Amino acid sequence: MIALVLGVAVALALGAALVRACGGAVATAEGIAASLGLGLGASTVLGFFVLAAAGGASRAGLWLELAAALVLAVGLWRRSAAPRSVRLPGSARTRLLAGLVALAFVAWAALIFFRHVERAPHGGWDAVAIWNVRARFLVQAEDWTRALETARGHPDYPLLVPLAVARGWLALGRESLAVPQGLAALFLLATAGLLGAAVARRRGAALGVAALGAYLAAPAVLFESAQLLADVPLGFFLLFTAVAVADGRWAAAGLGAALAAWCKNEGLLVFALGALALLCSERRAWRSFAVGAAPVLAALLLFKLAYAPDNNLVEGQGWQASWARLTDVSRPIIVVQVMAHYAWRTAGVFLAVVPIAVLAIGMRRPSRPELTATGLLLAMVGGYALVYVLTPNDLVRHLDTSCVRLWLQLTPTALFVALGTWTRPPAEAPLPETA
Amino acid sequence: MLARTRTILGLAAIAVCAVLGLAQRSREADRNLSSADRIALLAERWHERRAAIEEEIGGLEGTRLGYKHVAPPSSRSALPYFVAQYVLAPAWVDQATDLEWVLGDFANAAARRAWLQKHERFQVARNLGEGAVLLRRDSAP
Repeated sequence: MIALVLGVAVALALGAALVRACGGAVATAEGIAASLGLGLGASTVLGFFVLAAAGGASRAGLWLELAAALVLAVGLWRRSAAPRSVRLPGSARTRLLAGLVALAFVAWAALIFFRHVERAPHGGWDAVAIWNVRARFLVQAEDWTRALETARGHPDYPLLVPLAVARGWLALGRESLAVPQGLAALFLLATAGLLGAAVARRRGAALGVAALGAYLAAPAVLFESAQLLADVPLGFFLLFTAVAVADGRWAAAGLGAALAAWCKNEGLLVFALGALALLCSERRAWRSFAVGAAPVLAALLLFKLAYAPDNNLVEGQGWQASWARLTDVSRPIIVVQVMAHYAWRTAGVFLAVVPIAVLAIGMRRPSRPELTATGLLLAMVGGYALVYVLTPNDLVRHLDTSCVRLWLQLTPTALFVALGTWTRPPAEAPLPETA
Repeated sequence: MLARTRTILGLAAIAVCAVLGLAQRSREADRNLSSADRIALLAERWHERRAAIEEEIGGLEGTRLGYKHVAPPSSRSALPYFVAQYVLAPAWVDQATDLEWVLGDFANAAARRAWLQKHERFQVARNLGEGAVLLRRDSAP
């Protein structure tokens, strides 16, 4: 148990060092939430290098990885300059009140989340068939690459979630379901915290707590989070990337986009579109983006080129077949209809209430980086729609079995874009950052 | 003044929907609690039998197990197979019957008897109970 707590603490320290190295403030709610999610993700990158070098997962490897993470965290912390302090908009009283309401929302959501987990402790179908079965192979099999052979048609999915679970089990010394459940809860907390705090920093505490409440109360969020899948972690990394893009922090954007790609294949789209956003808006920042992304990208490339089998969606493509699907006019219509249906199933009444609230509060013309973040979100929606149009699988079945989870990935970013970039600050303009 | 009222209304709309939404999610979670989770039931089923399987075949590491699920058409699903693979890792469970060891997952004893009559090369190595059997394939041609 001590090793498990130590593992989470080291991950948090690594995340804090990464946030600081990317120019973010650590000692804020936003910094803590970002540190938590980034640390959990980045520590699996180190874990993968250790796994590949050692040829298998072991407790000794875990200690080596924790030591490496700690050295890296201290090194990054010492080399990076202290970020400018951030003064949040609004009075201290408003912020305190908003903080208390946010805590109440989080506590209520936690109760609901753990009731779902109590009923279905193993999570959903994909948790069993993809993520946690891989974690079990990583911990138990002599040859870790057998974890990739496990079925369900996605042998090339990257290892962020299985490795995070496997590390937890190795630290604990046994395979407890509390580890994948705790991981899901931490990523849900980090996502809600980052969303609320990032909106609060930009548009005030009241809008921040509204964004957090809307996210946690959306119909699919708590139930799907308790399914112990990779979609909430991917949603976190997409949100982190969008916030970094809107702030013009390109090293952070590169890191977030690369971790999204290391989390799940859909994250490759986040990375490609993040790079495209860079080319469209701030070409000179490519070095920062590349530096942020490089270590994670190295792990991803090693995994994809040296270990992962081919992707089933790619294997089923050919120029003629793809062209036929693309030019079949019925397919985009089906995709739009079914995606709209599942958007409602995921976000419910917030699909209407949030835009109405934005109009009521008043809109503000976003800055260029904020527009880029909006473009990133819209391009993600378009990219997912295109993947559906081109899918070699049965179209309706593919949509029915995955669409809610794709909207789940996009929901926090959509709320951030709507409330944190397009909405006018309600009471007073955000105070400028002070040196 | 109007802007302030609109701001309050906009924020209140989201806040009220969030509170009502969480109340609804809470009711849904309570309702779900009364029904058993199928994955949990299936996992429990194989978890209880894992030690017996391991004992019979002499360890799960590196072992390849076949898997045959026989159920009425209405309850056919790939889920029982995936849960068996999940619980029995690091054994490799394959949806095939051309292996030495095969896990039979039958809806009832009649279904098991019928299947074994059609597949004479299989012997029951161990009856694991509740329709689950470990079958061994006769290696003779």
